Formats: sequence, structure tokens, C-alpha cells
Amino acid sequence: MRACVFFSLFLMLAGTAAAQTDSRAEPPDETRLLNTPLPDISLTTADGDRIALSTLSRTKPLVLGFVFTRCAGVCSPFLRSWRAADSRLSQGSPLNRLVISFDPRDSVEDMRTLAAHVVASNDPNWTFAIAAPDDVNKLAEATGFWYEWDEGRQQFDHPAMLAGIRNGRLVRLLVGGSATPIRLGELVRELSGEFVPSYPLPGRVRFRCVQFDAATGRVTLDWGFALLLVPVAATTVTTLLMFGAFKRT
Amino acid sequence: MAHVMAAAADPYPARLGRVTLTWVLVALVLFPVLAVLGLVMRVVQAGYFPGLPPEWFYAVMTLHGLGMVGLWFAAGMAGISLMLARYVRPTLAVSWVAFGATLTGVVLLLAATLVGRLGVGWYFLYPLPFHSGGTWPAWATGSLFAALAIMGVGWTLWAGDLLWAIARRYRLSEALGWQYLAGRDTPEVPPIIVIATVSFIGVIAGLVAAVVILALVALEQLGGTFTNDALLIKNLTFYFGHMLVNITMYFGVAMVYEIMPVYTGKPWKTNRLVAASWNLVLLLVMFAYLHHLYMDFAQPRWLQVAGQLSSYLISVPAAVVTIFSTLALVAGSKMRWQLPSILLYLGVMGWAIGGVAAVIDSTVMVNTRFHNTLWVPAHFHTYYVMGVVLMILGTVFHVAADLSKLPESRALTRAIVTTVGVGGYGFLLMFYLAGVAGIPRRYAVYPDEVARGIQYANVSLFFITVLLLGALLYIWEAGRRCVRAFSFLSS
Amino acid sequence: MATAPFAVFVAATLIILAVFVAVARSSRDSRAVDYTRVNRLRLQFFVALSVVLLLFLLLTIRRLPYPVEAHTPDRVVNAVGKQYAWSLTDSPGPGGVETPTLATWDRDFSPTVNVAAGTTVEFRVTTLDVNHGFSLYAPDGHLVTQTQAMPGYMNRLRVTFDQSGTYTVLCLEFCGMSHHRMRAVVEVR
Repeated sequence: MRACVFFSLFLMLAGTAAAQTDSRAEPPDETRLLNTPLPDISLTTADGDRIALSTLSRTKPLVLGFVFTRCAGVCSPFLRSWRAADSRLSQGSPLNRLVISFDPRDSVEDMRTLAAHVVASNDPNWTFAIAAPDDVNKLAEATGFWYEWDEGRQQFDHPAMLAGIRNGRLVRLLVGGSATPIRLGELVRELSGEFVPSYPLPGRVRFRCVQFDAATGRVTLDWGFALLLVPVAATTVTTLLMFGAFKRT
Repeated sequence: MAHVMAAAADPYPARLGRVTLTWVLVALVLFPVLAVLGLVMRVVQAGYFPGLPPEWFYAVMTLHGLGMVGLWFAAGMAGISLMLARYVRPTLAVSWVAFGATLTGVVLLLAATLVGRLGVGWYFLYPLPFHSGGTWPAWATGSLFAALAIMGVGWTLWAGDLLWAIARRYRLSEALGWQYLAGRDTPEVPPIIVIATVSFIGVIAGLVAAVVILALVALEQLGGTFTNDALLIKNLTFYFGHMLVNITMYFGVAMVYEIMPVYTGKPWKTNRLVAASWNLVLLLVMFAYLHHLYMDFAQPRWLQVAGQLSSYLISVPAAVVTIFSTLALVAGSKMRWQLPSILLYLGVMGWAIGGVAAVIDSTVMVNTRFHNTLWVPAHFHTYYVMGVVLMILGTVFHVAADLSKLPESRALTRAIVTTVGVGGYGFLLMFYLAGVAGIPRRYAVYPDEVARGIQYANVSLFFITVLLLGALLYIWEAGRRCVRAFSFLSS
Repeated sequence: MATAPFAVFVAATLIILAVFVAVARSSRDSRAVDYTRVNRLRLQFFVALSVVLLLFLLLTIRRLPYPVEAHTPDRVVNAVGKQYAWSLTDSPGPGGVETPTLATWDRDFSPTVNVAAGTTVEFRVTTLDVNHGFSLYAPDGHLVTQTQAMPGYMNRLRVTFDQSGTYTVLCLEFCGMSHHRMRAVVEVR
């Protein structure tokens, strides 16, 4: 797993320097894909049901993630961080989550196992599904997701990302090694119709193994908010000490 | 002042007088120098030095801003220290330490700006001091932070000592006038004690914020592994800056409460309204700084709303209590209109006008159009130059005239008031008009899109000259009285 | 428009001036002060001031420049500030969906962007070094809107370009010796 991560990291770094030769080193670009409509493909869920993507993407805002179950790299940590971040968010507006596999080898059974792994088997808001390879391809293109088979490592290379869909169209991408509650929260709020006027920038986009990104803006602000209270606190203490130092009759 | 000086056997009053006059004389020297720097800025903006490298403009701008903010803060502290001596006993050695620290800071700042060409603006917004783009050397940045640290320590000690002096005599609840809120008027606490207590608490809070900034910046520069959150530092920076400037205003206002009665012949006592208004100010002044961050969309929305609410609200005690009371006091009196009382009165008026401009700009919707345009210097120069500066200058003249026993010349008084009034408000009007036209602030050169800025700068030159004339006249009159008073105290 | 607040300011200033002059003129004789009258007047002033402030508060607090609703804009333009230029691009370029880098600055640098009239553009504003101020000036020279460009943050500013012409982007947060030279252009056709 670590080899996969470091290899992917190396690819990213190499990519920034030689981007013309390897377009895969570029993470998906939200601004180019803004407003792209999703193809209405057919999905087979982990329960064995056949549904159309539009039942998920046009009824409520949808957060979409691509995985494959034989992933030895980032998929599992990323999915777990997504699930954990999602459950930490307050249940405001209703939302659909779709975890779709792009690996033709993945079966309904595999998706059931994956769902159980992240304790989402009985959660009606989470759908784990597979689809026909051509359909998966169309969906990936619409969202900027890419995946490449690496014969040497017998693994797929791919970015870690979530796509935010509203009314059947792509509006946001969340790209990066882990979905923190803060970044996911912004994505979800936006999908629910709330405007987020500003967001902290992620560090350089790279894959990380399980850690939550401690350097993501708002986390600093929370800690910093405590610092902002230091002047008032220090002054209150000083004032009370000063005035309290004298015995009064 | 004379009543303080009366007890000749006690050396304290003479020593207090000497340290105060030292502060005043240094202030009277620095004031015109820093004012001329401001004139130079407008001259450059009017297009008269097209060949001047812009970094010189920005270095001068930094020195002018830091210098004026520091100068009037220190002058305010010196003045308030003197007024307080009527009721409590400040430690004079601490005042001298603060003086030494301030002078050291001034030298370091002069070096950083005029030699190093440091151009960071007076509030040195992080991370600009560390991105000179080759304009200034690293030692200039170091010099800036050293100056801030040294002056900060000196001023914190000074404010702490003055608060300590109040604490020696009054309980905290008394010093804040809570007995009046409870409906009692004993023990009697003069307004200046209440205002001073509120002010020194504010000063310490503001300076602690500066300490936090310095600590975070030092950690980053010396540690190397983490980057500071620019939004946090900006919050802390404006907390510190806004506090320092507002407290300077309150020093001036405290002087009005203390000195105006001498000219109205009527006392100005603390009552429930005065106590309530200043306690409210203490609470609100902690949040009002938020109005500087409206255009930082990264700031949480609820903080932005809190900023507008507290900025609007804080105008109420100022208007309904202090300004109204000034007017009520004057209306019912046979006023002795002499230079001190005229300046104090005009200062209150300037505070009111500048306050209106500030409240307008603290409306988020309006701020979209006015933020960082010349409206900003317009309003703060109004309640600085035509507000607190006039209050302090009025107080200085009152004390100096009293000590020196030199009679006032009606003609000169009229000349000073007219030139300062016309020159001051004319120069301000040019800022306001430019702000409405959307002309950016802090531009050495105006590009074509905002070329109207050049005309406004041009017209302002006439008014600044008139203002400077008045200022120099005042400095001459006040200065010679101070020198004379100093010689009396030293003999 | 900026003229409405200015009109309020002028009106208030004239009132303040008039009151101060009138009161000064009246201070010729010492009078026994009728404190009841003074306090009644003060109360009236307090009520009047509070009403005015409340009115302005209610009128303005709803129209914040941070819209609450998320409408997907027609176009996204990335605006990156750096000492001393603005780059307006459709995409921040390789290196990150949201994070432009110094390495890509030179490659993708563009001080102009073309926008169709009537479109709602979302400017994604950030900076590569110090604080800058992203401001938009209309063809007639008035300041349309602005937001800060803060290192480590992306600010989103929505503008609908109804009027065609050449809009200028100027820097409105002091950023160093060529602060006044930072300029970009939005061509609206």
C-alpha cells in the first residue's frame, strides 16, 4: 500500500514538472467541467437492484466517489475518511452518496463487502454500485476522473476525488488524499444550495495515507480563534490581579 | 495643573511636570515633521515627482502612519498621566522608561524606513514584511519588529503602571463606575478615572494582541516548519491597530471631560449615563475591529455581522453621552472661548463627523465600494487630525498657558483656529470626494483609470499648506509656553 | 452606488456643524440648567439616533456581498495576484484544481480575459505571496465591487456583467512598491 502511495506521489511530483508529457499527472479540473451534465447510466447496487443514475442525481444533491475494491492504495483510507467526515456533518439537507466501482472485476458481492467495511450497509443514503465499463467510462469523463491499469503493480492508478452533483450537473470537485469534515462540509453546503464565499486552499494536492490534513485552513482558524481570545483573557486576568492586590477596608 | 504644583515641598509635582513637558516638547517637534511627510505623500500623488522611485513614497507612508499613530498615542498617555495625577500617583520612572523605549523605537523606525526603504504600511500586514521583492533589506524588517517590540514593552509597562495607580486607590467596581449603575453616587469617581480605566484595559488588550503577532511571526521565521494563517494574523493585527487608535481617541475625550469644565465654569461629574456609556464602550471596543475584515470573505459570516452591529452600537454612547453632554455643558454656560476650549470643542465636533463617516463605512454593503479607497484615510484623518489631535493640542495649550503664565493673543488664536479649521476640513474634503469616486488609497501613482486622484491631491496641497501654517503657529505659541514652564519647574 | 452614503454623510455633517455653531453662539451667559429639559432632549436624541441606526441596519444587513444561495455561475475565472501582477485564467493550470503555483504562473499568465456580456462570472481570487485586493472598475471608472486576495484562501466573488466595455482590475490592498501598477483587464463584449 505504501509503495502505491509513494509511487503515486512521485507521479504527481514528476507530473508538475513534465506536465506536457503526462496529462494524468494533472488532477481533475473543476472549472473546465463546470455544469457538465452527467450521463444517465444504469447502475446495479450492492443489493442487486438496477437503478438509473438520475434517480440519485436529479432527486437530491449527490456526492459521487470512484473506487475499486482490490485497491491497495488510497481507496479504502479515502472512503473511510469520507464516511467519517460525512457522519460528522450535521444532517442538514438531504443528500445522496454514491460509491461506484470502475473495475470491471468488481461484483455486487464485492460492493456489499465494501459497504460493510465502512459500516454503510444499512444506510439508505449511501449507494454502492457497479456499472457497465462503457458507462463507467462516460461517467468518469464527465467528472474528470481517470483510471489507468498498471501492469507492473497489478493496480489501477487514479486520483482520489469526490464529485458534487446538483440537478444532474457537476458543480464541485473535491480532490485530494483525504476528505476532512471541513472540506466535505463546504462541498455539501454548496450542493445543498448554500454559497460558500471562501474556502481555505488545500496544500499541494497529493496522496496521503490515513492522516487528516492538519494544515487545512479552518482547522488553523479554530486553534487561532483561541489565540484571538488571548488578549481579552490576559487583560482580564491582569486587571483582576491588579485590583485584587490591595486589601480594602 | 496649578493645584498639582501647589505643594512645593513635595518634589513629585515638579518631576511630573518635567516628564510631561519632555513628552510634549518631543511631540511638538515630531508632529510637524510627520505632518510634512504627509504633505510629501500628497505632493507625490499630485504628480510633482514623476521620477521618484515609488518605494520612497511607500517608505514615507509607513513612517508617517506609524509615526503619527505612535506619537498621538504617546502624547495621549502623557496627557492622561498628568490629569490622573490629580487623583492618583503614577510612577514617574515608568514614564521615563516608556520615553526611552519610544525614542529608541523612533530611531529604529527612521532607520528602517528612511535608510532601509521599508514600505509595509503602518499596520505591516503579514506576510508583507517578509516579501520585500528586493525593495528593503532584511535588517529593515528586523528593525521594524524590534521597534514595535521595544515600544510595546515600554507602553505596556506604562499603561500597566497607570492602571496600577488607579487600583491603589479605587476598587475595580468603583473605577468602572458601577456604583452609579446601581443608583448610588458615592464614592465619587471623576469621569477621567472611569475613562482611563476603560482605556488602559483596552490598551493592554491591544498590546497583548501585538505580542501574539510577534510571537507567531517569530515562531515562523525562526522555526521554519509552519506557515501562519494569514486570516488569524490579520484579525490580530486589526485588533491591535483598531484598539490603539480608538484608545487614543478616548484619551483625548478624557481630557475634554477634565478640562472643559474649567472653561464652562460648570463641573462634569460621573453619573449613571456616563458610567453606562463607558462600560458599554469597554465591551464593544473588543468587537468593533471586525469592520476591517468585511472584504475578507474567509471570515465567518457571523463575525461580519457582529462587526457591523458593534460598530453601529458603539456610536450611541459616544453621541448620546459625550458629544451631547459637551454641547449641553457649553450651551448652558458663559464660555470662555480661548484657544484650549475652542480646540477641545472643535475636536469633539471632528470626532462626531469622523464617527459618522466611520459608521457609514462599517456598513458591509457600503464597504464594498469604500474599502481601501481614500474614504478610509478621509474618516480616520477626520477624527485624528480634526478630532483627537485638536483635543490633545487644546489640553497642551491649557497646561502650558497655565504654567507659563503667558497671556493668550486673540489675534493669534483666531489665526490658528481659522487656518486649522479651513485647512483641515479642506484637505479632508479632498479625501472624501476621492473616496466617493473610488480612488484607491496608498497609491504612489494614479493609473489612468483613477487619474482623477491626481486632481484631488493637487487641490489638497493648498489646504494642507494652510493647515500646516496653523499648526506651526500653534507649535510656536505652545512650544514657547512649554519651554518657559519647563524652566520654571527646573528652577 | 457610492453617492447615497456620501449624501448621508454630507447631511449628517451639515447637521453636526449647524448644531455646534448654534450651541457655541448660545453660550454667552451662564444659565441655570434645567436638567429635566436636557435629559428629555437627550432621550429624544437617543431615540432618534437609535431609530436611524436600526433603519440603516435593517436596510443593509441583508445585502451582504457573500450571497447565501448557490447559483452555479456561467463562468469561473481564476484571479491570482502576485507581486506585482494579476493573472486571470480559466483554469489555474496543472498543479491543482484550486491551487495555482509559482511554477505555473509564468506558463499560464494572462492579464486579460474575455467575457460575454450578460454572463455571471465567479472570480476565484487568491494570491501567491502577500495580501492583495481584487477590485473591479467599470468602463466609466466607478468601483463595482471587490474582495481580498489572501494567501492560503480562495475568495469567490460573483459579478454579472450587464454592461459591455473594458473593466479594469486594480489592486486595493497595499502590497509593496508596485502596488499601484497591478492591473488586469476584463473585456466584456
